[in-house]
Amino acid sequence: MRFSFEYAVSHLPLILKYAGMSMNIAVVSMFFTVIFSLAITVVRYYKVKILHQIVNVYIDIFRGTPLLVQLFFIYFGLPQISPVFVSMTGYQAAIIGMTLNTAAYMTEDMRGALESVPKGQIEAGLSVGMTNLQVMRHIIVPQAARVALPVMGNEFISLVKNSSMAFTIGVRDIMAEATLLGNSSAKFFECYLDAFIIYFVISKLITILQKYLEKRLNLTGGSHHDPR
Amino acid sequence: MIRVENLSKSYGKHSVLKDISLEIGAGETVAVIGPSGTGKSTLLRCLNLLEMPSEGRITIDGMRAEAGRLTQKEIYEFRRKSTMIFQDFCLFQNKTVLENITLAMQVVQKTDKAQAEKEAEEILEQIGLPEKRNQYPWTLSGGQQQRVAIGRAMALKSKVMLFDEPTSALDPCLVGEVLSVIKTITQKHNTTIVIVTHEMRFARDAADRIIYMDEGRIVEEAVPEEFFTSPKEERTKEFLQYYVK
Repeated sequence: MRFSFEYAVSHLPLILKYAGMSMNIAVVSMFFTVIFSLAITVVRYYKVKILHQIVNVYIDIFRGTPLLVQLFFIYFGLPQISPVFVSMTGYQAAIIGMTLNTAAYMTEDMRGALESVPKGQIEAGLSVGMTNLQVMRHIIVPQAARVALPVMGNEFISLVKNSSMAFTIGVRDIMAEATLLGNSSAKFFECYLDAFIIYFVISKLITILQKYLEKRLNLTGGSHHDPR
Repeated sequence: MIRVENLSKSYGKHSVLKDISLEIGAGETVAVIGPSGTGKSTLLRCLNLLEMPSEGRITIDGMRAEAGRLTQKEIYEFRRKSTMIFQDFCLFQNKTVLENITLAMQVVQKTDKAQAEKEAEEILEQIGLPEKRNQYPWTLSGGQQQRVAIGRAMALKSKVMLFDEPTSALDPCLVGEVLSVIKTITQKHNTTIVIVTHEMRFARDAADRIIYMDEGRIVEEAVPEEFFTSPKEERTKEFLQYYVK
C-alpha cells in the first residue's frame, strides 16, 4: 500500500486554508438564495400574473438540469452571447449558478411551509381588522418560518457540498487545492482524503448547529398547529 | 346597528343565502338557529366580509357595504366594524395568550404596548384566565382557548360581535364556561351580538330575539319565549321538536 499518513496530516492545514473560499461561496449564495426565494415564493403564493408563469418555467429548468451544466452554461456559455458577461469571474458565476439552482428548491420548501399554516389563522387575523400584509408578517410568516428553517438548514449543507463544483470554473476552493496538490505530488489519495475530512466535519458542525437552533425555536413557540 | 338588505350569496350555481333582509338594533343579542348547512355561518361571515356577498347591501354602524363594489380599503374598514369568534377558536399559534389579545390593539388600533397590555390584563380578569397570560394556545383546554378568543375580540371594543357556533367544537363539560363569558358580555356591555348556535337553552336565556333559518332563508323571527312556546311555521315546529326536549 502506498499511503503516506504523514503527507495527509501535513497537507491538511494547507487545504483547510481554502475552506474559507468554499464557505464564502456557500454563505454568499445562501444569502442571495434566501432573498431570491422569498421574492419568487411571494410571486407564486399570490399568483402574480405573467411573473408567476415565468418563475415556474425557471424552476422547472433549474430543477431538471444538473448544477454542473448550469455553472458551465453561465461561465463559459453566456460570455459568447453578450459582452456583458465577459468580465464575469468564476467566483461570480459560481454565486449566480448556486443561487439560481438552490432557490429553485428552496422556494418549494417555503411554499410548503406557508401552506402548512391553517387557513383559520389568516381568517382570524383578518377578522380582527388586520390587512393581508399584517397577517402575513405577524401570523403566517413566523409560523411558516418554524417549518421552513430546518429544511433551509439542509439546503445550506447542500450548498456547502455543491460549492465543490466551483473549482471546475476556476475558483480556488478546497477541491481546487486538493487537486492541485495531488497533481504535483501524485498523492491523490492523501489530498482527496483531506478534502473528504474537511467537508465532512463542516457539514457535521452545521448539522449540530441546526439541531441546536431547532430546539431553541421549539421552546419559544413551538411548531404545534391547531390542536384539532 | 346592523341592517341587511336583500343579501344573497352563491358559489357558482349553488346558492347558499337567498334574499336575506334583517335589522338588528344597538345592544341587541340575536341568536341564529336552524339545521346544519342552511347558511347561518355564511350569513355571519358575510357580515364580517370573510365571505363576499354576491348581491345586496349590509350596513353596520352607519357604514354601508354594497356587494361587488368594495375596494380593498373599504373591506378593511368595514371589517373593523365587527369582530368574529370562530367555532375552532383560531388563536394565533405563534403568540401567547396576552399577545393574542394585544396584537390587534397594537397593529390595527396603534395602541401603545403598555396601554394594550394593561387593557389585556383587565380582559383576562373578566374571562377568568389571568394566570394563563404567558402560555401558548395549545397548552390550554378548548374552553379556555375559546375564552381567550372572546377576549381577543373584546379588546377591539367594536360595537358588534359575531359568534359562529362558539361551543360546537367543545367537550360538553366545557360549554358552560364559554357560554357564561358570552352571557356576561350580553349583560354588562352594550355590544350588539349575533350568535349562531345549537345551544337552545342558551339562546332562550340570553337572546333578545331568535332568527330561524332554513335552506338559505329566514323562516321565522320572534322573541325567545314566543319562538319556543308557540312557533308559527311548520318547519320551525319540526325543528324544535327534534332539538328541544
